[in-house]
Amino acid sequence: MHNSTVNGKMNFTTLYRASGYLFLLPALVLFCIYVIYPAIATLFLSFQIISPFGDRAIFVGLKNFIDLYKSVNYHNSLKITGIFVFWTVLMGLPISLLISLFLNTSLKGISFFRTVFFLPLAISPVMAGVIWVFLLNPNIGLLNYLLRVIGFVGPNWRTDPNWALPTVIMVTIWKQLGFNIIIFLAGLQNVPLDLYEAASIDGANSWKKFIRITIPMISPTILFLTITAIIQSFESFGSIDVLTSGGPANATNVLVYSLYKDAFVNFRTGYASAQAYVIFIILLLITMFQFKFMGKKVHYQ
Amino acid sequence: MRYSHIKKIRNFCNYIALFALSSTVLLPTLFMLFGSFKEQSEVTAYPPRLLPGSFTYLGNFSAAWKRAPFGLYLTNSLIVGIFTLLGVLLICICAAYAFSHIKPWGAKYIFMLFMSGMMIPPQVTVVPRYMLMQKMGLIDTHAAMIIPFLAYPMGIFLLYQFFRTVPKDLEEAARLDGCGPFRFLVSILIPLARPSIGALSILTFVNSWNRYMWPLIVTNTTKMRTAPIGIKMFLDETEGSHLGVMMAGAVIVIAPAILVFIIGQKQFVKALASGAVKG
Repeated sequence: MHNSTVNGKMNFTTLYRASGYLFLLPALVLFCIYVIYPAIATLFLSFQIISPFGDRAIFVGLKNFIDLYKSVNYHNSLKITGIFVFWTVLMGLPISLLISLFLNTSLKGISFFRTVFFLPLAISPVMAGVIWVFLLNPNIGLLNYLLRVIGFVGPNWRTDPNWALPTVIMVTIWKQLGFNIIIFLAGLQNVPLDLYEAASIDGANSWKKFIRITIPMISPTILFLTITAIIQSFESFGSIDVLTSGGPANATNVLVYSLYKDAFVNFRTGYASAQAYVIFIILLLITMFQFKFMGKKVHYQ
Repeated sequence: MRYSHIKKIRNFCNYIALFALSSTVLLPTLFMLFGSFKEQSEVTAYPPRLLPGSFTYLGNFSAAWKRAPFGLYLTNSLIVGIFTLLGVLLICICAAYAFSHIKPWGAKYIFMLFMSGMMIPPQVTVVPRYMLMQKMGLIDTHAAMIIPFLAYPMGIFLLYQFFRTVPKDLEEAARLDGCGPFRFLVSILIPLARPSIGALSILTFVNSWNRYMWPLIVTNTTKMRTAPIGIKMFLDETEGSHLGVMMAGAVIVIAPAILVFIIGQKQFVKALASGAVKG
């Protein structure tokens, strides 16, 4: 009698746990087909040369990677991506932090200002590009007019090889403002107020308080945002496609854009797959760095 | 007395700074919005002015609406967004429940597989994914823009984080009352997890609405274009022509997102902060 109840329970538990696979099945199947399989397939493709319509493939070993290594264009893309990510993050984060400091008060109407700064969050990278196209227009745009008023001659932002990359950087910084400010504000609001009070009693001025208290206290936030901003800038595609289409003369041909062009415009599938793996390895290194240095210090939200 | 004086001055400076900064940040958007109400002569006038002569001139909007099927683009984005959302919810809720409560044998390893998938950037998988779509004959369909994004590891993770705070004892107690796993999920877990599900919904929909590279690759006719692709093509096709019309087209496509954002700002901000958003 006792035994049979135990068996009954065991059977139920077995059945119950087995039912878990049923709940997992759809996610697992889709995940394997659309993430795991393509990730592995890309690696195989990167060792092949494939005809434009995909009907013939030749195994060529590391040829695609060697071609990448030798390609002047690809070196250019690497360099441009580096410059792009570096300046986007190095200028974007301090600007966001500065705005967050101004927003971190209980002034009347502060929620209106917050909405204004969060707004770029509602706008996708493509739309951000579209919005800026008009302001940057050399003939009717307001920006070049304002520059002329203060005595500068504004360039052809999107078509001047020297200015295309700074333009894309500027738009990306603008687009990332919303997200950066939200996270910075959350970080700033977690700094205990009594720290500032104690520092005031000791006679510290605002600048000292900022350097000695604010910066150390929000350092996990800064690290988190640095990594996210690096990854997001690295993966930029939409705004670049709208603003410059990788041009002029490859001036904004970042790694992701180069991959897109080789895969879907030039139909060099194997060559593009090799590029995909270069991107993968770079992002993997950044992510590993993130895990190593951030640990559990960063609180999301 | 002196202190309050300093405070007043400081507040005043703060307002000035905020006003200057927010005007700068708003300028591109406002220039486009105001420009869409300008007549051709105002658009090309020199020196350029920010404000239009009046907000009642709607000629640009009707011209833009005639030149490109913006209604269709927005509908496509909406269809893709809604079905992606429904699919993600169904699939991620089931998977998260299996990981948090049912725990079939090996669940830990399957979970790790999903989480490592979060680290695979979409650019890495895009080429074979496209070839798959070709083989399945799904190029230029809504399905091609929906199916690859349904197993969303971030979604499974978000829901799992909440589900596991619901004690297993609760499920066992429910079971004694004759409540099976499916009913427990539907009538207890899902209602409890409403805030997390809400955040995931917003995240999924926004990601889908903003998605650009993939829809650009898998669609090739006007009737399948989503809003971001539609506006890019519209700008390419009208490049160099009437800028007022171009701005009106851009406003038609961007306005819905901004309106929804302003209405649901609080939920929006919370959801987007809980999982980084991609374009």
